[in-house]
Formats: sequence, C-alpha cells, structure tokens
Amino acid sequence: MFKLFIVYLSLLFLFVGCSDVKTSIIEIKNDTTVQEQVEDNEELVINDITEEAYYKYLWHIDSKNSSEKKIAQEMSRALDDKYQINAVDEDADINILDAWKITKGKGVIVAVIDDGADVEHEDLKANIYLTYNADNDTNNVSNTSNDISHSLHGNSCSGFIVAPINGKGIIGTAPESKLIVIKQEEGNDIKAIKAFEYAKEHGAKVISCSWGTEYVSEAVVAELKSLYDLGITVLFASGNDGKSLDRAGVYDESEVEWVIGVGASGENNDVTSYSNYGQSIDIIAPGGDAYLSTGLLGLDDSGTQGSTENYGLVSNSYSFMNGTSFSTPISAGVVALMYSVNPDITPAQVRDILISTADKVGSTASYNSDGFDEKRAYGKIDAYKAVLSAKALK
Amino acid sequence: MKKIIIFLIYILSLSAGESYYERGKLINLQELHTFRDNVSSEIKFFETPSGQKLGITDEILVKCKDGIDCRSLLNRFFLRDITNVTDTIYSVKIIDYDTIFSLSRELFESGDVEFAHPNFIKQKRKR
Repeated sequence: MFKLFIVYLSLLFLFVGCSDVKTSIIEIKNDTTVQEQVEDNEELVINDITEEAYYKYLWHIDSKNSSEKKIAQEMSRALDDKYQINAVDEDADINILDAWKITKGKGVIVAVIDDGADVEHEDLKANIYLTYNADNDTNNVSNTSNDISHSLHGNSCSGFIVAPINGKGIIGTAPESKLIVIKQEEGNDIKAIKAFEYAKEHGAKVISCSWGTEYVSEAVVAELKSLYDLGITVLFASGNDGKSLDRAGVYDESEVEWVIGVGASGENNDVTSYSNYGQSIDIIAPGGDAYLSTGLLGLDDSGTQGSTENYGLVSNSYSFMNGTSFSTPISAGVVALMYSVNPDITPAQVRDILISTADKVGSTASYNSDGFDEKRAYGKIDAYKAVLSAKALK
Repeated sequence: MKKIIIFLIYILSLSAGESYYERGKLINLQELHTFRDNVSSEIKFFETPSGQKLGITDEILVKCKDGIDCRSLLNRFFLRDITNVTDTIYSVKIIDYDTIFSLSRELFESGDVEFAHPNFIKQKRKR
C-alpha cells in the first residue's frame, strides 16, 4: 500500500513537472525576444552556403557555380529576350570561398554611412549592432513611412557586407561581422563628420561609403585623415559616370589619400563601362553590369516593398542591381575579413595588400610597371590572397 | 557714358561673388540663389569655377595648427558660439550671415589655422 502511495506521488510529481515545462515553453514562445534569439542561433548553425536561398545568383561569391547559364536562360525568359544575355565569366568572383575557410569576419564591426536601412530585413537584422541617424541625432534609420518612393540605398549596401549565412536570400562578404547602420543623407559637412565620429566612437574598424560629392571639403578630409591615423579603413565608391576623376575642379571623396577608392567590375571579369576611374582609385570589385547579365543580387533597396528589379526570379525582399555603390561594400567586407585575422593591421597595410594581391583582369599589357591601369586601377580585389597576406603580417 | 557705368554697376551687382580658401588657394564663388525654410534659417547657394554647387549654413568649420589654442584664437575674432565637432575641428556659429566668407578668409590669413571654411551643403550622389 505504501509502495502504491509512493508510485502515486511520483506520478503526480511527474505530471505537475510536465505541466510546468509546458507552461515554460508557452511562455518562451510568447516572448518575442527569446524567439528572436532562438532564430538567430538557428541561423548561425547553417554552414552549407550553397543552401542559401539565392546562392545560384551570387556570381560575385561563386562564379564557377554551374548554374550561371541557367540564370541567363531564366533572365532571357523573364525579359522576353529584350537584352542579349551572356553567361558569367567563371573567374568573375573575388575568390572568397577560400577566404571563408579562414574567417567570415567574426569580431569586426563595420559601419555603413548611407540613407538608412530596413532593420527588420530577414537578411540583415541578425547582424545589426547599432543604428544612428546623424541628420537628426536619433537612432531611427528605417523607412517607417512605407513610402515606396523613398528607397533605402543603404539597405542594399549593408546586405553586401553582413547578410548572414541563414538559408535566406544572399550572403554578405563578411557574414559574421557586425554592422552599424548610420543614416546621413544631407550633404552637410558637419553632419557627415558626426557620422564618421559615431562610427569611430562605437568601435567600427571599417567604414563603407557608397556616395560622393566630387568636391570634398577640407574639414571632411581632415576627419578622414584622423580615422586613418586611428587605424580605421574607410572605403568610397568611385561613381557611375564612366568618366575620369582626374579633372580640374573635381576632388571626390574616393580620391582622398586616406581612403580606398573602389571601382566596379562586371560579370565578364573586367572593369565595367560605367565605373569612374583615375590615378587615385585603388581597386575594382564586382559591381555588376545589367547589360551583360543579371547585375548583382542584393537586398532590395526598399526593404520588403520591392521597388526595383527582381524579374520575377526572387522575392520582393531582394533585387538585381549594379553600381560602384555595391562594389564598395563587397570590398569593405573583404577588409573586415582582413581585420578579423589581424586586428592590428593599419589602413596603409590594408591598401598595400589590396593593391599588391589584386587580380590583373583585362589585358595585362594595359598595366604599367607599378601594376596600375588607368581604368582598372590595380586590378580586381582577391579576398583569399588579401586575407592570407593580412594574416601573415601578424 | 554715365548710362554705361550704371549698366556695368548693375551687371556687377547681379553677379555678386564671394571667396574662401580651400587647400591654401582662394576659390571664387558665384552667388546663385537663397533658400529660406519655413522657420527662420536661410541657405545661400553658390557655384565654384568648375560648376560645383554649394550651399552654406551659418557655421564656419575651423581646425587650428598644432600648438595653437583654438578657442582663444576664435575669441580674438569675437566668435563666441563655438562647438567641438571633433577633438580638433570646431564649428562656429555666425551672427551676421553676410560676414561668413570674410571671417573665413581672415581666420585663414591669420596663419594659425589649417583651414577655415563655411559649413557646406552639397549634392550627395548615391552610386
């Protein structure tokens, strides 16, 4: 009888215990913060990058992926053969798959200064560290108005750096780095400097800027020099007018001595016709060329609203695009990988490594004895060689 | 003759210009127009000889040379509303908007500053 009573008590205890566990599960499910953490953790354990939803479109990551002809066919159908579609050159990527065997950018903070970002985007939110609006001194950087005409160029730029390996959408070039989204739209010197100061004060080692004025002020140059001296690497896009920046009266941010100036390469593994160039531009990197193939696939510039081209191939959260705006964050991600393997690397060393390891695309005869070509700068960025060289300096 | 002189003065008054020092060189600007917002501030727009369009606010950005006490220098120019934008770059608010270029030039010509120029507003192009 006593034994039966003990068994009854044990069963009662088990039942009550199970109820508590069930209650706890319900409580956790109702707690969105915990839910998000669980989702984030799930995102981190996916290691097979080819399972990323739109991997086949990421030619800047893996141009040897055999699906590029299929992409071209899909594109042709989507566009009713409006354009002549060429397959992607198998060497058009930046040799990053081997670099990722060494690092994916963990421990490095990258800042993007642009017009904001959709902080709830499925391929961005897990890696957002901080947000700051330098125009109004708040933390609001999102397009909250749902106004489709107000694009978030910074959304696309950010994704090319930090989009995580999570099975969704795309992969950034430094998918384990963390992002500071800084909104600074007004072309106002003081506010631009405030944006750079915020990035510096909050630990950014890399700052990516996909904009320019062609008339940079002395105060902004002084700020860029100060960041350089503090060991922070700043990258600027060269622009999309297909022109030389070596003209009287033009002094663009991308030409400043203390930054890395970035032009664009295309699916044909050569410089694009739209990429601005000049003696002060350092490297080129995939920016895509819609007249050759798809352009780059990135996060849609209006977040999930789908304002730009997806050709019916991808969801509204993503779109195809091209420009030096995107070759710059792709390069910024590579620089983040370099800092990840060597946190003490200096901006001067970063530049030296990037230009000395760059792939001499196009005709090698067009490069001078210093390895410089007027339109292709020092060549296309090579992520693996850059990371190896950065590591070797340690 | 008198009419010609009056006409020339009229033309000159239409093409009012200003100048400031950029990287040690005097840059001449041509005034374009003035923008007034709904509150109280106004922004004048100018064009550089190379065709760049610049707006200016009522602030000057200044960086002093090493060893110069920047606040003392700015006080000598009777400039009071001084803010640190960075450790070494100061922003100075000007009471009389029309003196912003002459003050910028005088500060530079003092020989104690690396630069002194208006806070510019430029067209920022996404790329």
